[in-house]
Amino acid sequence: MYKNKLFSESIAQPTKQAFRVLAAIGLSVALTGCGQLGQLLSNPQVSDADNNQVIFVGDSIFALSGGIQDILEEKAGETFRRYTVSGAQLNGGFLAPSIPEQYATAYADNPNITTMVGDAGGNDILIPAIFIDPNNCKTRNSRADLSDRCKAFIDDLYVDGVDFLNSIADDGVQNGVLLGYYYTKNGLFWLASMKQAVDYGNMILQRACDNSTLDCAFVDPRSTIENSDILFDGIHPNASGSAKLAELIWPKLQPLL
Amino acid sequence: MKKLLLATSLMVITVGIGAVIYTYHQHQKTVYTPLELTREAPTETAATSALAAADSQAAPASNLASELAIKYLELYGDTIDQPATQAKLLHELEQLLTFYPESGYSVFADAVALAFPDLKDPILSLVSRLKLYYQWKEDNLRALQAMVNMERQGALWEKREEMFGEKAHLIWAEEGEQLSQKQQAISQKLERLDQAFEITPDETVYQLQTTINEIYGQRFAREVIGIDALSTTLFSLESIQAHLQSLPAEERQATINSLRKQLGYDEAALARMEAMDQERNKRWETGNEYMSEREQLTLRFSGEQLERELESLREKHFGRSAETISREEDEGFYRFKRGRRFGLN
Repeated sequence: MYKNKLFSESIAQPTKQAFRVLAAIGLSVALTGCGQLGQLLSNPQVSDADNNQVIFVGDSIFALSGGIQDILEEKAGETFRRYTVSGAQLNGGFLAPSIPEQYATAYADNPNITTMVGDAGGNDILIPAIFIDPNNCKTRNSRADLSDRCKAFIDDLYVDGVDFLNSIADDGVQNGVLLGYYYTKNGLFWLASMKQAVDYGNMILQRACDNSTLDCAFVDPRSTIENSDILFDGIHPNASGSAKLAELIWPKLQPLL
Repeated sequence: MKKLLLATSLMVITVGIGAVIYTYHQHQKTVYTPLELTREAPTETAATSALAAADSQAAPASNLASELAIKYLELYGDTIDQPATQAKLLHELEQLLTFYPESGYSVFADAVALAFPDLKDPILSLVSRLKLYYQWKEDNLRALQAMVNMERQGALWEKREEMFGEKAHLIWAEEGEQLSQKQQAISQKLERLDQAFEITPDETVYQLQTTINEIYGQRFAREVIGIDALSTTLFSLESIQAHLQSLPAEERQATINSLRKQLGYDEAALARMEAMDQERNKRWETGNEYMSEREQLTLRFSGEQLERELESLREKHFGRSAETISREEDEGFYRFKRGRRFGLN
């Protein structure tokens, strides 16, 4: 990363944050060619925790600050294994190990997993939509219908998602807690127009949870997270956002511990 | 007498020109980024003209405030409730301060109060914070200019949100409009490429990359938009899918690999993706077999007998995931009736 010795103190902090944010959604600013960029700007992986039977997998909603998992661990009074990576997608992706790949790593580290907590699918929808939107997932206003093309694209994610949940159930994982996505806002990235895509995406995530052979609980954050809970990028939760998301997850996780 | 009048006129004109030049110089010192449209150089407003023509002796403040109030109403009244419009008043304040450094702010405040009495406090608050924002920008000019574009935008947006909260995206709404225009341009190109069945996939990749590079810039496209977004875009095109559908399996995979390589994936990524393609192929083969057998069962059986046969068929093909397929079908979702989109699902 470029460093300028003339940085004023007042800007050094925002610069690092802005870079982390950009990398977190899979944008290889200034590190072109780095195949595992996401891991460089995520919370550190934890392969050996107090409670190794609980693993966290997912994208930068968890991994950028690590705040959600930190709060849950504080509530639980124990640490869990941590494999979340910024930029991760459900379905492939170049800059970060996908969520299934994160799970595979966790399984390889220690196959004794009873509970998986995480999220998936957000980057699959968001990354193409931000600057290109090939599937017309943005809508001009809150009343416009989501395009059939976007629905078909998200339906594909449903199939990948439910098959992934089934595959971990086949491995012996008993429980899953799946966090959905909240409404993005306008900021560095202009994403208030993703509302319908978020609604449809959450619907299919709920369905994936319900239809899978895993005992899965879906956590819907849409009515809880407000614009003031989201960072300047329009995407990631700030401290208050992470706290609220942890509060939503905890009632589903606590009984499983 | 005539000579005296001429000399006086020339002197007034000279002073006026000098004031305009000084104002322009001050304006040029302002930091601009390509997207900082709230600081665009304004066309001469009636208010500016009033100031430029002012006598070197300050006009009574109340008269000036009244004049300015009328002009603000004319120029901004229709949309003054919008933060983006309120932000434009900063320029008016700065013009005023150029000529009246001591009393300019109070004249401005009076003018705003006269023109927009219900919005006086929020407008003055917004304008004051904008001044601080642009001061912060000037103070950090070198650092900002040293950043790559997205870094700089990130730093600016972080500051904007810190200082203006929810109003930030309203004040800089024009940036969102610019992005929207770029996306519309891309969308139009994609519509053409979507139906461009006559061109080769290689040519489609080339045109896609060229379009993205032209609209966003090559570096931005490479470093910010990235390969994954381009890959999703490419394989979402009907023209690409039609071409891939027409090929035998081995040649199809080779074409997919070649297109991904053209997009910029390295060998490790290509190998991972090909493995994923093979998994998907197996899934679809199994699914197509299931659907074919299912069709036969629906022709032969009905009612509970049919349900038992279908349950057995699902277990045969999907093992423990049979229950998932059953629930999907109960919802009316037949996953193998979705279109097969090579490179995507």
